[in-house]
Amino acid sequence: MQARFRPLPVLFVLTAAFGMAQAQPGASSNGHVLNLERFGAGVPGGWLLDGNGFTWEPETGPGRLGPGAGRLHFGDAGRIEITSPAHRLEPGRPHTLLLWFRSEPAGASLSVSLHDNESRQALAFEQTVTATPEWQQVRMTHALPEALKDCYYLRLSASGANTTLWLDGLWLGATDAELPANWQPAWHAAAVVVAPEAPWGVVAGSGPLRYRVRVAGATAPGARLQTRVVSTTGETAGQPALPLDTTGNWIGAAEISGDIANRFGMFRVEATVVDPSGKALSPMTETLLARAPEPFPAPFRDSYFGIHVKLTAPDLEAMARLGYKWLRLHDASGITKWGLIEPEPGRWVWHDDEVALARDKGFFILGMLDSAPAWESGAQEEGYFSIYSAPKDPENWRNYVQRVVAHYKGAIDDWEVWNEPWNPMGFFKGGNPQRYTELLEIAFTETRAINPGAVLVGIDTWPPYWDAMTLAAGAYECYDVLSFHRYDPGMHGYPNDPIDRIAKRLRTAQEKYGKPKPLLFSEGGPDVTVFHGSFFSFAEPALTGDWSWCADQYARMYLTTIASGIQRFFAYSVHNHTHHGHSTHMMVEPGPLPRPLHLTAAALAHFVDGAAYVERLRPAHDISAHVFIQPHDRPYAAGECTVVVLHANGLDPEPLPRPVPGDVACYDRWGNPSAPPTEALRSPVYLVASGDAAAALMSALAPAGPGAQP
Amino acid sequence: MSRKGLVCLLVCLACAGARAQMFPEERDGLNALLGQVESSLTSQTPPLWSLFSPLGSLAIVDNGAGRCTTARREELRRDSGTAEAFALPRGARATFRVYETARELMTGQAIFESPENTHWLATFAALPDGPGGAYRLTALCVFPSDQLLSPEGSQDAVSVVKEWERVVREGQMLELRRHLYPEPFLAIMGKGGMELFLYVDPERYITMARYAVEVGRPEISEMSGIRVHSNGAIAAVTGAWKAPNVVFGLGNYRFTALLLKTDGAWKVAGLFMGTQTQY
Repeated sequence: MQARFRPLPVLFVLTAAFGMAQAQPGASSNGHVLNLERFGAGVPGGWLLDGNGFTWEPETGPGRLGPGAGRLHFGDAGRIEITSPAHRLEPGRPHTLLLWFRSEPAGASLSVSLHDNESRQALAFEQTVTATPEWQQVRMTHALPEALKDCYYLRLSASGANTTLWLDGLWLGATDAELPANWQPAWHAAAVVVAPEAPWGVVAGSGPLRYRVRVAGATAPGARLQTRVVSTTGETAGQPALPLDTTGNWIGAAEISGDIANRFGMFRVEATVVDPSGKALSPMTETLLARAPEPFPAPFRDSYFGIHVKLTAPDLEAMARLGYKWLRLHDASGITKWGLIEPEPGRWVWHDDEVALARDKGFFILGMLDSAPAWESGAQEEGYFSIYSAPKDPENWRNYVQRVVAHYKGAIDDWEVWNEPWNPMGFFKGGNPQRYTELLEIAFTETRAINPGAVLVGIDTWPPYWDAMTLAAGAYECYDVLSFHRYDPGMHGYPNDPIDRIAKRLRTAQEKYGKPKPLLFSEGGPDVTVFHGSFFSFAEPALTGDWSWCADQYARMYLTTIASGIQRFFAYSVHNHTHHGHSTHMMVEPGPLPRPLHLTAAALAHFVDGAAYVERLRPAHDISAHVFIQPHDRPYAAGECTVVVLHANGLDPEPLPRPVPGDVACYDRWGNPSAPPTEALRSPVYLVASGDAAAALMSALAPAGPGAQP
Repeated sequence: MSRKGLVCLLVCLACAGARAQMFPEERDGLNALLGQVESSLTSQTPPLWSLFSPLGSLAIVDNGAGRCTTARREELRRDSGTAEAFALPRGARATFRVYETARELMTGQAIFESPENTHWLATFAALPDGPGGAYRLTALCVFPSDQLLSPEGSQDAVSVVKEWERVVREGQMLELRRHLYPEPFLAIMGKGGMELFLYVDPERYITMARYAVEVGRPEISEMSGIRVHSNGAIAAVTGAWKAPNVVFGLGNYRFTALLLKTDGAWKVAGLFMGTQTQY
């Protein structure tokens, strides 16, 4: 392979020095603002890959830039779309886009475009070309138009029929407005892509944190893979270098090693191909892995933790490892929605395998009695909302309820009636509180008759007018559990926080009609991407927020659900993934890969699922100590123990009035053993005590004095 | 502006705010808080940080030398120099107070007068999250008020606030980004159901405001009764805003906006809105 290695032409290096403007923050050493340059190793972490009818292999033969091009073979009708993570670029400044390509036979189509991350509109570098057997180069220099948040993403799409397309040498960066015709950057000789072995990169307990590696391109003798691991605990650890061969297509696997590998939380693996002198031969690329503490055994019906996720094996496995125990079938899966399962009168579409898969993984399912096919409702609109009009004929609705509840009896025994019916402009067009109550009454009656043990969830409120008017219309008699939705990026968990207030309001609202029924937080979350956080090194804070803040926020959202006496919370959602940086409710990276917030929720689930919530102590006015009794054997205690979730009510650290007793086991927000805290932080931490230590812990956390309790 | 002129302004404001019902215990609670603020600013007892809520905080002072100091609760707590920037002369007293209620989110203004007859205008927002339900500050903005600009001279600050009225009506919330002060920033919105939305980051605020407008786009967005007090570096703008929304209800809000002039442009550092409407 050494013979194939060609030193970069001196001309390239010199012209790069003249042509490349001052590198932008985050750009690689050759000024490329993205980390996909040579295509042979595939798509790095953070990039979105979509398409069908294609294979992708590295070209080990000599290409335009040496070995290491990507060779994409299209079948009868193949297509591929590659979307970069969003990056902050400088509007108004000249940027140059370069991309080499060719196809055999000629005819593959290739499109490029740079988009505004907010509006998703193409702003620059729009070009569609047809490939020929000769290498050609997309080469454009544009002053970037303004984007709404100055953040942009690059999209490449290609298609072809029975042809092979080679891609190589992608470069995007700030340059002079006028470049010499032969200007090229200092190309890297190789590329590396790392990806986790486990679904979503998530392992539970002590499982190994393994990842796959692919290196493509010219790797001189002595070249090696240099890897560094960064964890959410703030640690950084170099990993043993992996020697590479010179085949131009090295495939291997590795496992995070050293003390850092034993931590719970998330890990970023950063990999670079280097030569014997340590000089980078590839851009640094990365992937994400996660280790969650051992979840409470599934199935567990009384769990506090629900999620919206697709009913596929890898996704379900990842969610199970993170400790989620319940699924809600909205958006992530529409397999019980009338509008989707009776596409024409009398023709029913069942999804028994998906339901069985979820049950086999230990999940309980909240099914949806929801929507109406357009043939029944008369809805005229197309697309997503076409099924969200109120049904015309209540007897048709009755028939649907009978069919679906009977069909899934034993597999789905919990049903929620309609998603967000309070929204007459979206999910319940043509509906109103009276109409909803009528549908609820039918659903309740029929479900009771067919599956007497089933639980019917109703109301699904957000604005107070909705619960007030449905209850006034007679809804109280027609549900077992009252549900609500809430998206709120606030830092919850303090007394009388918004979710606690909602719970109190809904109990009060029901009291007019009878004993308040249990509450379910059936959909919500911290809202969109800026409230999720990302552990990729290139994550732009204006788009993905502060991962540490978001990790605390998400766990505290579950915590306040529990503290407010609400049965459980179904977070929305992880059922889809778009390009990194896109503002979406999907709490997931492309790949899919996890975000840190799932790991703090996993730690909370590890400690409190299976435990009974006892009370909130306030050792000082701005500190909450949520007390649970865990009766089950858990990795942190054999037999019954007391678990305390401790946090500052607000954003600032608050000193603890008394020290935590020495025989109390302490854990950080990820579930790692830690030193006893001396102050309560925004981050929830866990204190575990058994026997006499539990009493000592309660004394240490007792209210400090007059005024400490409201 | 003379004290008399300032008082006249505040009386007008009080008349505007009089529509909002305030219970005696709320007024007593705010009086107690203002008393503590007065003591803290003039004698540093209790420490100013302790009067702020940890849920979110914003402190702004113009010490008269053309320099504004901004801080959050934690900075006031950890940095004595920052806290000292908020000191007023010993003997200064809160001589006139106006409170507005938007359910539990309270806002108000007070004139501090020193024995030497110099004046400062304090604008604040408060929540009852202290021990025993006591009010604590979420925002405090203090600036010299003896040379306030005329309302006409402060219209550029008002026009920034009026941008909210326009973009909500047009559904173009992202256009507000350029008007938001990056750090510190605090926005609190109190719903009729006594629920609060609180944001300490302008990017998060704008994202959620955009979402709320997209879910239930108000067909009406009208501001009225706008009052402005500004010394050219800081502006406090108050008023009423009607913007009904399917999520937030009928939307008869009272608002207080705190603006800082940065590089010649007014930026909103604090925005406090609340409604008494219970749908």
